Amino acid sequence: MSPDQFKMMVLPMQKKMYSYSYRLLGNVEDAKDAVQEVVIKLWNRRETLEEYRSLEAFTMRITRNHCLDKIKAKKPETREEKDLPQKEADGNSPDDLLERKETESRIKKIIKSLPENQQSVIYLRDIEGYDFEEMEEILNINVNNLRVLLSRARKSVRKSLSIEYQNYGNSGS
Amino acid sequence: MEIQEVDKLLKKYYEGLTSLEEEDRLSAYFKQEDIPAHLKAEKEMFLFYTKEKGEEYPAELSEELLSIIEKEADKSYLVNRPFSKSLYWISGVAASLLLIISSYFFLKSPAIEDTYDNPELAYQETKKVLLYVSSKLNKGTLPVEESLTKMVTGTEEIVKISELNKGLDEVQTISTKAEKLDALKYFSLVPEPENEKSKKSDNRK
Repeated sequence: MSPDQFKMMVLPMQKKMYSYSYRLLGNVEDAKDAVQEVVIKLWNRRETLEEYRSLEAFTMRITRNHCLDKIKAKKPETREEKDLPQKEADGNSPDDLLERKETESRIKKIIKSLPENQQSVIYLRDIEGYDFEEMEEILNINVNNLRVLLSRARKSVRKSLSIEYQNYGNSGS
Repeated sequence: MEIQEVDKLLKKYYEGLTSLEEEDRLSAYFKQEDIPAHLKAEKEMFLFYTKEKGEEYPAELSEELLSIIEKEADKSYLVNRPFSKSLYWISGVAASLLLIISSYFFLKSPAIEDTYDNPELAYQETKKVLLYVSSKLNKGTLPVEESLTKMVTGTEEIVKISELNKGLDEVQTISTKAEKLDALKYFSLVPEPENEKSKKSDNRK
């Protein structure tokens, strides 16, 4: 595969690779590094890339595995980093925009607190809109189990959110 | 979308049974302003997901990725293509050049020209040359002959050593006779060893 062909196949996926990495790793620099490393991994396999039914699913799978390895390699640090941005965003102002931001960071925090496979399922389905076939390939989980996982993840987001709302409402009034 | 339909879809959604298209309809519904109070959590959720999808992307990463690919491409180009391929090519050319040049010289050198038309003359000339060579050869064998005669006289000298051997034999018979004489001495002259014994006992004191 020529470099130009490779660019045409791989570069259109960079945003998805980045945002998945960002969601799993929790910070911009690590996510950028991960994408660069995954692109090199793909380059090293460039001769076999055309064999995959869905290159994107394959790419996302490599991205996920790469990020999970990174998380394993430095677990204590990432745990702390996850919580930092939320605390910064916590400020009480009547500003609508700020309230929106607070809600967003709250949901982010809720999703982050889920087990990794539930996080991935929410990200891939509800944010990126992958179909089950692709998710099967990325996560290596069959469709039925994917539905179960997705259901569990959606319900726990909803549950945590309504609890947060109650708390938020109580503390606000 | 009717509120009943929204509720129905949401129920499916929480069971993980909605299609992508149904999920799109839900997120489209929650984009509007007036949403019933009991669906506030869902509204936040779907708005969050919609917004997250268009999340900002670090612009510099695109260029970084491009340069990474270029670098990797250069690397593999240097490693795989021109080096090994041109090496094969160059060595092939060098080998064939060597073959051509050496075969040129090889074929050219043994071409000996016949310089004589008359065979008698050629014979005479050859004879002359061979005679000359043999005379030179004889001259060369002369010093060998000289050294050979010297060697022969040398070996004659060595033969004289055998005469010395005879002399040695005689010496040996004399020495055996002397031993016999010593034995006789032992019987006849007893006091001599006693002297030695007294010397040794002196040393012990």
